[in-house]
Amino acid sequence: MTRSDQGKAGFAHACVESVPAGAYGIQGSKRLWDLSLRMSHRLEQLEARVADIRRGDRTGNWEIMGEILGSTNQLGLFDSARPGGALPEALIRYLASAAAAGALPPRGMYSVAAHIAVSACAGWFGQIHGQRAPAPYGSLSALAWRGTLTSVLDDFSRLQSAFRDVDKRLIACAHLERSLGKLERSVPGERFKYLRWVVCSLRAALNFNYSEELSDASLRAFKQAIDMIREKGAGLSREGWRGIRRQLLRSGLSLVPTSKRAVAEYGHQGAADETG
Amino acid sequence: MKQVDAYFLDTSSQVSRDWDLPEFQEAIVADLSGKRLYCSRYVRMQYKATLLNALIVLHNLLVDSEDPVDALQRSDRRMELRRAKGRGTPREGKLVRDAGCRLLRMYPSRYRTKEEILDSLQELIEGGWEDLFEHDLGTPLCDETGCARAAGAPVRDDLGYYEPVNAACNLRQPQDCGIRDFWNRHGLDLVALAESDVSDLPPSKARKQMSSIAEGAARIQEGESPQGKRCSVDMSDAVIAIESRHTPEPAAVHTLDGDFAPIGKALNIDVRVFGSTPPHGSPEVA
Repeated sequence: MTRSDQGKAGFAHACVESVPAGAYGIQGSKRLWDLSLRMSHRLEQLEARVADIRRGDRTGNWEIMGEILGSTNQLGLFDSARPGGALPEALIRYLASAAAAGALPPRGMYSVAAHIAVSACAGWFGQIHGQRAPAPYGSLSALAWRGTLTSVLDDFSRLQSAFRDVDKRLIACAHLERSLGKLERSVPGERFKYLRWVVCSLRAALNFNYSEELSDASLRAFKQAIDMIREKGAGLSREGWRGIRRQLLRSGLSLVPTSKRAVAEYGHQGAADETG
Repeated sequence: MKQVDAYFLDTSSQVSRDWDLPEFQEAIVADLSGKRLYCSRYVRMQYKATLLNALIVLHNLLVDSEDPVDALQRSDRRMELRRAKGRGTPREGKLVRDAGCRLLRMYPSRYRTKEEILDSLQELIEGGWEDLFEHDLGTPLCDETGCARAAGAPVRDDLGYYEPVNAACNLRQPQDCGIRDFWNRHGLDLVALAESDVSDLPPSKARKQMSSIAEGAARIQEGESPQGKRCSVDMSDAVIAIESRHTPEPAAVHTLDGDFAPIGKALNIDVRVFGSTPPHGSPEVA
C-alpha cells in the first residue's frame, strides 16, 4: 500500500469509525455526510486560495502553496486527481516534493498545482460519496461536480477580467461555455433538474448570442446565476431557475435558437419553404 | 395613423417576437419597443398549444431516437408525410419546429450528448416558454374569458415522453370556463359581428374567416353554445380583439395576421397588422 493509499484509507477509516456499528442506514449516512461537509469547507478554503493566486496576489504564495500541496498530499488525495490527463503523475509528485522541501517550483506552476489540489479533493469526495454514502437530505450523490464548479468560477472570473477586451472575451466565453457543459453533465438525475437547467440557460445564453454583443447587464445576469449556483447548489428551486431566466432575458440575451448567431451557424429552413 | 402607446399582443406577434427569423424578430421588437404591452390568458392558451406541441413532438422524437441526427431525420420524414397527406402545419408551429431542429443540429459541436439537448427542450417545455411569453408584459394577464385550457402544465410519463397539450375545446366535454358570460357581457359586439357585411371584402381567406365569425356570432345569439370549436377556432380572433378593450389603457391589437383587419373594422377596434404581407408567405391554415 502506498503512502497515499494509507492516507486515504486512514481518513476513510476515521469516517467509518465515527459511525455507530450497525448504523449504516440514514444515521450512518448522515454522520459520514457531516464529516464530508467539514471537508468541503476545507475545499472551499483551497478554492479561495486558488482564486487569490489567479488574481495575481503573489504575497506569501509559496507558504500557501506549500500548505495546500502538503495537506493534500498528506491526505493522499493526489492519487484521485484527474486533471484531464494533462499533467503527468511525475509532475504532481515533483510539485509535492518541491513543497515538502521548501523549493520554489517554476513560475506559473502555482495555479496549476493549486488546481490539481482542488481537483484532487473534489475527486476524492466524489469517490467517498459514490462508494459509501447515498445522498441524504436531497443533496447531490457525488460531489465531483464541485471540481467542475471550480473551473466554472475560474473561467467566469477570467471572463470578468477580460470583458473589456473583445478578443479575450471571445476566448473566455468559449472556456466558460465548455466548463458549464462539464458541470451540466456532472449533475445527474431528475431531482437536481433546476440546478442543471440554470446551467443549461447559461449555456444557451453563451451559445446563442455573439460574445461581442454581450452587455454589462448580461455580465451582471451571468454573475447572479453563477453566484446562485455556488450558494444554492443542489437546493436550487424552480423559482430560482425561473428568476435567472428572466434576468437573462431582461438583459437582452436570446435563450432560444432563433438568434442571429444560431441561425448563421446552424441555418434555417424557413417556414415558407416547408409550406406544402 | 394614430399614435399608439400600448399594444395588445395577438398569438402571432407573441410567437414571432421570439421564434421568427432574426431580421424579422428585430423588426417586431423595434416596433414594440417603447410601448406598453398587454396580453391575455386566452392568447396564452393559443401560444401554449402552438409552442408546446411543436416542442413536445421534437422532444418525444428525440427520446425515441438513437441520437439527435436520427431525430432530425425522423422529424423531416414526419413533415414530409404530413405534406403528402395534404395536412399543413400552422406557420407558428413551423417556426418553433425549425428552431428546435437547429438545436438538434448543434450536436455534436455544441451539445455533446442527446441528454443535453433533451435538457434544453425540457427546460423550454416545463416553464421556459412562460418566461418568453411574459417577457416585457406590464401587468397581470387580462382574463375576460376564464379559459380553462390556459391553465395546467405539460405532463411527462414514466418513460420520459410528454403528452401533447390539448388546447382544442370539445363541445361534448365542455370546460368550466367563462365564455358564455363573456358573450353575454359583449352582446353589442356579438350583434356587430353577426351583422358585419363581408360583401365589400375581396374573395380571400380573410373574407372566409369573417363569414365564419359572422355565422358563429349569429348562432351564439340564437342560443347555441359558444364553446368547443366555435370558441377555440371560429371566433378566436374576435375574442382576442374584444379582450384588447379590457387593458388598463387603450391598446391597439398587434398582429401579423391580416384576417384581423376586418374584425377591427366591424368592432371599431384599432388593429395594427405588422407588415402588409408576412415575410415568409401567407400563414397556412392547419
